[in-house]
Amino acid sequence: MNTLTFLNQPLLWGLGLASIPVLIHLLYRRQYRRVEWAPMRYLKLSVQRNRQRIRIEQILLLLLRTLVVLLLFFLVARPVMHAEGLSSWLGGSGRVNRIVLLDDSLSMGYSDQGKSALGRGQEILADLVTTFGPKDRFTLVLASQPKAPLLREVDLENVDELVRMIRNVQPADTFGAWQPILEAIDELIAGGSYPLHEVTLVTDMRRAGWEGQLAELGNRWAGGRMRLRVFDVGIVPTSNAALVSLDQVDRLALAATPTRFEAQVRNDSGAELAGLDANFIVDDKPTLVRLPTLAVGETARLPLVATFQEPGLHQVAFELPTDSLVGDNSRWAVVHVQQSMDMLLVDGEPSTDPLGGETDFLALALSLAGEAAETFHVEVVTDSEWASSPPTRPDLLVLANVAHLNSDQAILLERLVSAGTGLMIFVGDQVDPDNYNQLLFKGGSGLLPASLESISDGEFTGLLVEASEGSPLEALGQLNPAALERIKIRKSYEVKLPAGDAEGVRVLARWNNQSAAPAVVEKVFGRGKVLLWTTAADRSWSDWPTESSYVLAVREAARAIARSTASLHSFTAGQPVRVELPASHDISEPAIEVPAGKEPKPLVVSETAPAQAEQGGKSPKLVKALSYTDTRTAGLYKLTWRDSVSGPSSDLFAINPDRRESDLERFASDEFSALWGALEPEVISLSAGSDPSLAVRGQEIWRTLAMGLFGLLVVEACFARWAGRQR
Amino acid sequence: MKSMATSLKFSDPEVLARIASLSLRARQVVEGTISGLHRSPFHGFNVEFAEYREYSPGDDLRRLDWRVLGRTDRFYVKQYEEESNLRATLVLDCSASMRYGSGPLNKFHYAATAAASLATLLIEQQDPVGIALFDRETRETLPPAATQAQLARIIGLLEVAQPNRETQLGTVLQSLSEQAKQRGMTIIFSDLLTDLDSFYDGIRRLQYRGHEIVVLQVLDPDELELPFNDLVMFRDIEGQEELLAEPWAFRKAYQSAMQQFLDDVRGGCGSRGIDYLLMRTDQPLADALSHYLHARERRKHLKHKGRG
Repeated sequence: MNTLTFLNQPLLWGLGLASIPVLIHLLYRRQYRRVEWAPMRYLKLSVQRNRQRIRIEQILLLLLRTLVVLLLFFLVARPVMHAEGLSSWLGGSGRVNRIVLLDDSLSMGYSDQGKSALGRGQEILADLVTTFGPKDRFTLVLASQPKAPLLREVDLENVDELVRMIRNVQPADTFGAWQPILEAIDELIAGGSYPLHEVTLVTDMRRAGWEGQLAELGNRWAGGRMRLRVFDVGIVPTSNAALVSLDQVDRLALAATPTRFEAQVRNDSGAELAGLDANFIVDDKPTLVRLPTLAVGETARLPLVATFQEPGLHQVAFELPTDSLVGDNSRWAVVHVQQSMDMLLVDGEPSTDPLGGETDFLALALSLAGEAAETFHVEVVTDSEWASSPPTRPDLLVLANVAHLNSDQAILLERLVSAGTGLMIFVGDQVDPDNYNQLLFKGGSGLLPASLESISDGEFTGLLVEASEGSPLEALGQLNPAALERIKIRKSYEVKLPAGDAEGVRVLARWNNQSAAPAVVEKVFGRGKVLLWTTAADRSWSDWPTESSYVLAVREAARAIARSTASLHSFTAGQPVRVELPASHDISEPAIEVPAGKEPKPLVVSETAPAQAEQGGKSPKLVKALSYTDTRTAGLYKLTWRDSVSGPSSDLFAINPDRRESDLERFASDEFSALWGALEPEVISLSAGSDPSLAVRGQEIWRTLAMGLFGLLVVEACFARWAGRQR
Repeated sequence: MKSMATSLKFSDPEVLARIASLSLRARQVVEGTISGLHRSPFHGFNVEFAEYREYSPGDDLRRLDWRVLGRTDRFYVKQYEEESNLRATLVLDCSASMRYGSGPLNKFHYAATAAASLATLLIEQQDPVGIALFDRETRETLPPAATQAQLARIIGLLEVAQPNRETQLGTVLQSLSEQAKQRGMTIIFSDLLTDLDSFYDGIRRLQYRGHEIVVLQVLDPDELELPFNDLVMFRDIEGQEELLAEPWAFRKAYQSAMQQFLDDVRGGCGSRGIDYLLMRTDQPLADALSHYLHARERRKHLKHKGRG
């Protein structure tokens, strides 16, 4: 292997011009003036005394000038110092385990002048492998799948095949979290065949993802025979509009009912963005959406609405116009549209009298005819019926004045809520506070947002709605204040909120009494939400059920906490998708459709524990699972299979790019080096304008040579001046 | 100051070089030189009294016998035997080395102008002046005489002289010492780039015969400073030898060697009681002569005072 290679090799012919100083010297000796001189004797005397010194000075000066010309042409020929060649030249010829880590995260897709950072990295690697020694072992790892190297310790016999493989690497939409990636590399090093290791990292040096503690790893690597070389192929970002999110605002999408979405767009450009049109695509039907003018760094929230006529899985997408980073311009969502919202009201004090039952007013309010009345399906059962009937999975479950629960019911409730079902608890005279506190509050870890203390008989009027973002009672705040002021409460339950700032618990409304006691308390539990109402659902404790504000409050709260299916089908790039079926089902003909242009890998069908065991549940039953892990590319993934029970089946998933990759802030080289503790990585920066293929054979040393040339010129000038001084 | 300004004005080598006639040139120098001289710096050697003679206008008032004047109220001057017996011989080097010149006057022209000037000066004070032109041997000689015709002959010889042979000053001086029967003053104009031992030997012989010696060493500033800044092929002006050299590389060494040479000459002359003057060809000639003559006048004056 050559120690030096030259990028402008033809210019090496110019080295012949090193003879110029010699020629000039000889020609100069031919050009002199003639002087007839009288004091020849003294002249000869002086010359004789200085002849040797003059000759040595002339030779040295000639050598210096020759060296200047040599160095000049050496420099313009752009030599590249090959460390491997150098080390073998210096006597070291050990076999090296070469691990190349290619950053294929989303930000590597940032392009400048039609060439992405990943493309530049691929060019470098394609050139780099040609410089490796034939005895070396080569491992190629992608940052998007560090535990599954593309190549592991292969011999470098078929370089063309390696180059082809490197060029075929497709950009991923994943986030580069470097600590786990480098730990995976560390494992590869630990299992390496050779004692010498060299890790080459090709990355764009974005700050995001480097938050971990790398100093310990760096210190360990520095202690071993380890070298880290980093090619910085990053491009300084100039323009990018990032689609930060596309969220379904309504937890439940109902057929023929408008479903709200929200897209967030951030301007990461250095200039204002104006007049841009985006596409909101609902089931492949695009609609143009004019983006508002976005100042630099500003994030805009775009409200979007889609109405799905049919129940089932629907897809929506939002696409920004193409810019330098295409990867964060599109997001997808899969919407599970239901025909109706199923609500189960458990009446703890049923009655045959009109509006005498505990849940009568509630059922009336929830099933009132309206624009979408048919989408609210209310079923009322008594507490004993609920206890004896097989468990169901309603979208919303309401316990109204249910005296007490057994532990199985409590576990069932926890499982349902953690899986997404909404739960409303109304108190009443029958409620056993000790039972509730023991089985539902559980010292703050259970479903109940607050512990039940005692019933308060003090009469008062008025409800105060807390201003809280995303509150299920948010709509009450839009009512005329008088509508809430006239709510007359005769009894209420005093509750005690968990100590400290309990996570997921918040008071949504308070009574207008002296202690401003909580009226409605919310707790987020798993994927579901629980609302505790500290008054009864019927008229026994208040006149509120007869107020219109009651109807609004319970309807809005019901829809706001009803079981959400929105996030069940949305994942971030890199997260595996999984469909779980009862273990008794037989699955055949599994297949997957992946985003266009990608090569699908086989689906894995296995019998395994469920991915999310219910909180507080018993040991989970095994399930049949179809899983697919290669979701490094964003887009829609459709799984199809044949089920022995339900026949041909399918499921749809939206894989979205990791929003953290839109943060394009770059590391400074020295800042990056400081991360590594005792290890001193060799950072080779390839700016956007440079030819990436230049650096791979080693390090260009023209800067060093230029410094040397400058130094030599200074020495030459000083020496010439010194030698030419009068003596 | 007036004298100095005048000498600079009229004897600058640049100015002198524009005057074609050597006699005019010499006159120009003399005009600058004698200005300020109260009396001739050169005197006869024999001062034995011979007779009185009546004063006639033009006689030197210093020779008035004041005692006779007091006694007889008549003006008599003392007449000495051999009163005008300052027999000056100008010995001028016209070897090839004198041909070198970096300025308007080469060394030979400068020396010739100086010699003509002194001859003019001496003949004006009735002192006989002769000349000898030499290179490796004496080429032309004129025995001393104090006539204007002699001055014309001297200038004529100088004007036609061609400096183009080697120098053998010692031999020439030995030859002159044998020819000069009468005592006198020998004024040598040369660059002294010759064998100094032989030169001193010749001097010693002249001195032995009672001659007073004055050495006026004429050198070009180039020869003292070696100011060249390019590659130079030095060719021996009196021979065939050549030497290619970069003068800046040994300039100081050369200057030092030349200074040592001058110091040797100055010391050698001083130790032998010889008047010595270094003349640079870029130096105003009248200025150089004036300095020397004034200095000589002061020395004589001090010498007489010392005797008195």
